[in-house]
Amino acid sequence: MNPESPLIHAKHVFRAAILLLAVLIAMLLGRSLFVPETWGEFGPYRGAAVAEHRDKPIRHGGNDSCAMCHDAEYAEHAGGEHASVQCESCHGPVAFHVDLEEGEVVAEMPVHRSRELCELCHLRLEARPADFPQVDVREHVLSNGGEFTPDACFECHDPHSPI
Amino acid sequence: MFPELTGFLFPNDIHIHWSLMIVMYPYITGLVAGAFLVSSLYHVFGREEFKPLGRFALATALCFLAVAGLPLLNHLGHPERGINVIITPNFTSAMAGFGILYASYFIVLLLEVWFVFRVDIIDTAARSRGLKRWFFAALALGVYDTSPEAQALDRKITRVLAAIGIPMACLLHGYVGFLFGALKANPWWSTPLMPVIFLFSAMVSGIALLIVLYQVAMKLKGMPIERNAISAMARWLWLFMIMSLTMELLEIMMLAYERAEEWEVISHLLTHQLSFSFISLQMVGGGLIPLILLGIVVLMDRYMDDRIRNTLTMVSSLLLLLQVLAMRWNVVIGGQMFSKSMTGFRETYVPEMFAKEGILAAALIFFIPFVLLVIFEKVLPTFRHLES
Repeated sequence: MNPESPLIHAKHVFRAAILLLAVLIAMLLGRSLFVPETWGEFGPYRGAAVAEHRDKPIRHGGNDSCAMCHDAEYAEHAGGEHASVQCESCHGPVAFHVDLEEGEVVAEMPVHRSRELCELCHLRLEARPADFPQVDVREHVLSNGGEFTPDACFECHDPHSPI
Repeated sequence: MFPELTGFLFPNDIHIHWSLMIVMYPYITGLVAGAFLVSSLYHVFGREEFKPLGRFALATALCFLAVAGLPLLNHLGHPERGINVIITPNFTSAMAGFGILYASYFIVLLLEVWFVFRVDIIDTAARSRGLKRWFFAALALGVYDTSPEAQALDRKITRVLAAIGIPMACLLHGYVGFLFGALKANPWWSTPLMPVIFLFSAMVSGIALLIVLYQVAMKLKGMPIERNAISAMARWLWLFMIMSLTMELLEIMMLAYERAEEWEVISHLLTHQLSFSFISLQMVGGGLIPLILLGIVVLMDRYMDDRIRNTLTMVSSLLLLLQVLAMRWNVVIGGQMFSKSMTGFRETYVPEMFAKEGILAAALIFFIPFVLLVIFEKVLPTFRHLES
């Protein structure tokens, strides 16, 4: 470089600019490695996620699938206070119990008998409408002469048709 | 099991989702913006009275910016996903601005620090041996040109970078205010004044922090505290605190005068849940008292003994640091103390001491930039130009 040129004293600036450029290029390249292939296909999310969710096996069957074998419980439930609550909301997906492809029983249906299950809907909360049945379970059980055990609710209430 | 609640609250109104970490995030970015402004007053606008602080302010801004994202990462349930806001930003969300603004501001600040300290880096490289020499040679990018021409070029580039940095600092902090101001469901947040209030309070906290750090640093180094620097910072601090307080009050006065339905909620909030942090801390202890003290310093400057001036500015600065923290708390936590139904309240919120997002975690995060600043000072002394 010509020693008279003002650029002779700008060597450090060029080095800094090259370094900055290298960092920016590395950032852009690094970004392209991390961006999922189908990101942005339909919107700001991974497009392939739509197909992945669609292709997941069906695990729920609805109340009618339970009625195919358990007609007595179905009838009792349909006439009770919990008629609008799905069987699988408390029991879990029917696929735990029946192979939906083959139609065969594969395992016992799990039955939850914990008061935490009831508390999901019936624990007293300020945010719940006042006319919805809700209790402080401990106080409710003890004031009715019961024992505060993990399955205390089931001593008095039948979840298929509670009072 | 649940906090004390009154009236009707929606289920998602009960929990304070934006915790102490979200209070710390705007607080720390605000300190960056304020410190950067002080350094720019010297580097761009050539205010000679800030010469003792120009480099120190820049180093402070860099150290605080380095940890500004930490509270957010600690707040996330999945911190490893935090990088997604930079890799795959969703531009329909204001939060997408974070990656772009933070990264570009960081680059500008880093470059400015490099150009300002370049000659010092070269001097240290020349005076060192072994590994230390290699380290400083690498920092200097292998160019040892300290000719007057090269230094003149450095100063020119510094001025340009600082000039770019001012709007960027404003944007970074304005965007934090925008995030709150743009939430239309929350009347305590939703105001176009919010980014401006955030910006002015940022300047207040940054200048106040520098006054405190400068005085402490000078005491530790046994160097004299420059009278002109303190007087000038007191003047700027007074100006910015008046602007900041005026706007904070204007917003409340508008709401109170309009008597719109949200005033029912906000007046209750200010006189009950936030009575201590808003009235006592933000308005009186951290507002009115520093306003008077700084007023005395500014108006009676020429008659004042140095020690009195230093003490008054120090006390005012500490109170203002507390005021801005209280303001962040009142905005962030206050906005979550009432229900979006406008008919219910959460009565108290006390952050836990040892929780993941508790008081200890916040204090630790706030402590890191001071450690970084001490390390920076060891590597590149920020007051060396005064000693010579």
